[in-house]
Amino acid sequence: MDKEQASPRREFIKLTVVATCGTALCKCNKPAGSMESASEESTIKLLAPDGSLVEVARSQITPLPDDQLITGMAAREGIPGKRFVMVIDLAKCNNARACITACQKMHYQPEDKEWLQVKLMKDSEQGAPYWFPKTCFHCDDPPCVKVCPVDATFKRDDGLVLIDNDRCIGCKFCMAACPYSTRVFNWDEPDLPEEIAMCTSSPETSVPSQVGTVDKCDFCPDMVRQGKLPDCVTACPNGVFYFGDEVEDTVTNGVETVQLSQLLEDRSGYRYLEELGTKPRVYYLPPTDRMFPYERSLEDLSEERKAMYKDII
Amino acid sequence: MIKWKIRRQITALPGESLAIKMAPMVGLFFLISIASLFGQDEPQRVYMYLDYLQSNENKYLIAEIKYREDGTFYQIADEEISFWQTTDTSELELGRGKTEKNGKIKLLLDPQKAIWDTSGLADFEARYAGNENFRSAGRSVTIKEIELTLAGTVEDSINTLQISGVEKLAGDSKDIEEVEIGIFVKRLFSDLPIKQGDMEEGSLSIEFPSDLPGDEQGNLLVIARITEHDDFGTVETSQNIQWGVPAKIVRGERPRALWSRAPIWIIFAVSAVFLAAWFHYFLSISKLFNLRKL
Amino acid sequence: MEASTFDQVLAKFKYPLSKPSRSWWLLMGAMLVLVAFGLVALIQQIVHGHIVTGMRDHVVWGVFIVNFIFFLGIGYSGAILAGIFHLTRLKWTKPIHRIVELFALAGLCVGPIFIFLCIGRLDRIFYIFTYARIQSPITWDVMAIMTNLIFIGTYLYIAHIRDFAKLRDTDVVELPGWKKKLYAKLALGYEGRPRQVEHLNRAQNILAATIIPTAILADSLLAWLFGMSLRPGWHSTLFAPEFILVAIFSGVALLIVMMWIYRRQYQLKDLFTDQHFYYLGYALLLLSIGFAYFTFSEYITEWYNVSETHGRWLDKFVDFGEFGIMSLLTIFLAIVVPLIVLIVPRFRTPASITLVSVLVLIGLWLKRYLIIVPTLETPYVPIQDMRMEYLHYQATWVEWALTLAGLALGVIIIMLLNTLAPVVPVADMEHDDEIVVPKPFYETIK
Repeated sequence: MDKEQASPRREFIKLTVVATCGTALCKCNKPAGSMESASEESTIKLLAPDGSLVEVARSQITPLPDDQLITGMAAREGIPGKRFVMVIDLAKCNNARACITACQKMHYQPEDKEWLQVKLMKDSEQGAPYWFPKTCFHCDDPPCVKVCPVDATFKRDDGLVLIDNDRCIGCKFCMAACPYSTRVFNWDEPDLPEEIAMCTSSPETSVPSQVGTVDKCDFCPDMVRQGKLPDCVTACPNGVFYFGDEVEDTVTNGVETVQLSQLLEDRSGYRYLEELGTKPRVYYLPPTDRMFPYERSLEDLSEERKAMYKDII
Repeated sequence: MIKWKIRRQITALPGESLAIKMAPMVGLFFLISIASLFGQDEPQRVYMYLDYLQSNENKYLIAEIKYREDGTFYQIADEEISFWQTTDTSELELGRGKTEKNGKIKLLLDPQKAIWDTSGLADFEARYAGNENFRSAGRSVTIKEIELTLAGTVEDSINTLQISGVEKLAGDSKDIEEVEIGIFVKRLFSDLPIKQGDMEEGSLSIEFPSDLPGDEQGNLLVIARITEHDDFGTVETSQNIQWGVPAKIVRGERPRALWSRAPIWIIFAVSAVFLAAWFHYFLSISKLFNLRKL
Repeated sequence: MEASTFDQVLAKFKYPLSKPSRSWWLLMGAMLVLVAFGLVALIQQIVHGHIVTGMRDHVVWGVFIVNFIFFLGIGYSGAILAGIFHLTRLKWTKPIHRIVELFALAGLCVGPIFIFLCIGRLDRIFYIFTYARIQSPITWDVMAIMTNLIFIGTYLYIAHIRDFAKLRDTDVVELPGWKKKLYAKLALGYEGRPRQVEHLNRAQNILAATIIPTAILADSLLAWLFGMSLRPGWHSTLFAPEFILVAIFSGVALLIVMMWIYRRQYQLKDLFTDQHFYYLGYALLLLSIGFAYFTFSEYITEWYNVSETHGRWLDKFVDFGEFGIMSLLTIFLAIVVPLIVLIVPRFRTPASITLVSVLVLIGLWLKRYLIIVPTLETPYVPIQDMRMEYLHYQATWVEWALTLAGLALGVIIIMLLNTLAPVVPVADMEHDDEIVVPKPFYETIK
């Protein structure tokens, strides 16, 4: 569902949004107000839940308390006793791109920077094309972690592969090593709102992006710590993404909760490019009994975007 | 404490084309905001929902408010909802509070205040007063109080759950008939459905699988639940039972991909080569010492 | 040779030893302009970030890493050749020892600059030491490059001591006072006494024997950086030997080119004889055949291996819209032309061999480009991106400016060293037997 309709919004929406933002907590742990005491009346632009852009006074944003932001060595430990795992159901994806947008909002990424991508794939000449959402696979044998010279990217006990952007020197060796082209580089100064750019960086939030360092999908461990699903999972209108804990053998897409082993058995779950031996933590369910024909998802796309898939279509 | 990552559009998007694309939207919005200061719009219709949840001993009322625009529902946050118990003759306020970001508010019922009558029924109501933007709204439910109990027994080495349910009447009880009961296990993000069955004559016996992974001790939080029943609302009872397969949780150093710490052989090999080279270097340099005096 | 040989030879290097000539200053000025231009580009890159380069998320390394491999290859091959020339005591190589040492040092100084240019956060570069992970190949490479740089620098110095002593004592060339003092210091009081000769010889022997394996290992490490990745075209066990062969190939080619330049500049026909060109031409021929062998075995094995990604990768080398022209050009410049010119006797002249060497150097730079860019443009997951510049790599002016600046810096280093000592190790030319009489290696170590 595309909420970018430019229909006029009435005042009450604005009020709602302002009220909503009043209870909101910034991802940042530095109070924006104290840094900007002189400009108390200054406003920042926010995206309202309905997709419109509104301005809100800075003073209405409450920063997240320090004790909730996991940084430094604690961020390298992982959430005790968990082994996070994702299952992506290819039969349900119709390239709605809600996951991508949600991820970009979550991590303050511009529209053209996609930590999560939806590729159009075709396995063989006679095979049918299908949409292929690709997150970071958080491999158990991650080629990226092997090569990092400064321990900026690391594998945690809960299975996640994260990046410490305060440590990364930007040698890009991990990007060359990753066979899944998961990582993205901040080629120039990221265009972030000031109070986000000033935030304390944490591997758990992957915010803020820093110029000259590497970013990637992080499975939103800061959300997971609060028992909430990553944003891409909840944003997907079709329930494509299942997320959960391998130790509990349970995954959920926010609507249904299923046993991981049962799901993989019933739907012949597989891992992408298993032969590379990287042992991804993301499983795919083959696009059998599709919910949508792939062509229908192309109709609404811009010509520019369609051109991306010219090799497949 | 909720932590909401503000859904914020990056204000200055890279690339002129994007900035140009965004400009009319922002401009339009400003125009509308200014226009709305003068024009008064009709208050918007509010959709209200009220659910009853009984979880073990605790009873809750959950209210949710939304409005609708262009066919899409939007939650209304930060608006005050009041909860009431009503009878034919009186009404009693149970509590009030403001809705959260998801438009919901959950009220824990005070057992002193919420009273079920002799026929085991209680009427609850949620009210929203409205304001200049939203119309007022209200919703009521009638709930029959029941008691659901859950016990785990092992019969012929088969794990069996015994669930029983009775309607609570004043000083008496009546078995529940033909109600669907779902069995769940509590998991990190949600409850994993295991089985379901219909309760007959106030009891139900369900075989419980023995291969579910539990925590390190094999504990499972097993939940029996009646979901959104017309008379009872949502009623659940949970119990910790040690029927799970104990999880093997490795703490600390897990065999990670290529070593969070370098293995001995790499340290040895690299240092050996390095030291060998530098040994010869210094051997060479040493020949130059005191060259003047030779 | 007679005793006056030294004076005769030394006199040829009056400029730039006593004072730099006009042409020296002109060339130096031109090189400094290039370096300044590179600095402008560098400032652009530092201020605006790596966005000013053509590198993007798929092709994360471009011309910079190509130059890195190219210049380090020059450096390592210089080290290997210097060690081999010294230890084998090949009489005819004596006049060219110093050239090899010069470009070894220049290559090792310039190469690492290009890896710094690839680093997104130069302000955190010291993390490489403070947070070093010994299991990362980059850490090995950092250690290897530093080691080699110090070794080569020291070896260059040791090889200069006899000349410094001669220059300290000579009056054939009028040297400024400060230079005389400098030579006196640098010569470490070397007077050619038997014990001094013995010690200096031992020092040089040991270090020569050390820099060969360290340089080979360091160049192999460079290859392993790529070989250890799960990438088509990189994940090859053949990579390290190929890198070493290509490095030596480029080193010999550069040696010929520099020999030719110096021969013209200082009228050194007696020292850099036609025979030198022929000998090195044979070496070039052999290396070219070796290069052809590696190239063939690289492509033929991939050709028969029809794995999907490898297929896509290989297709780019025969597609003229992709890298077809470049790969043909590489084969032409580094294989076809050397084979034709160097095999047919009447094509062999110092000038033609030099020309071939220039072409080989260009071809080998392109070879490095073909190692890096096509592989990065061929990921397993298809690139589907709306941003055109993310699909194909195209180097920007910043990268070219810095490439030229790197080249210019190498030339500057060599030119500065030329003002310090002659291009030919004159002292060694005089005391012919001192070095040439081979001793068993185990005896020299004692």
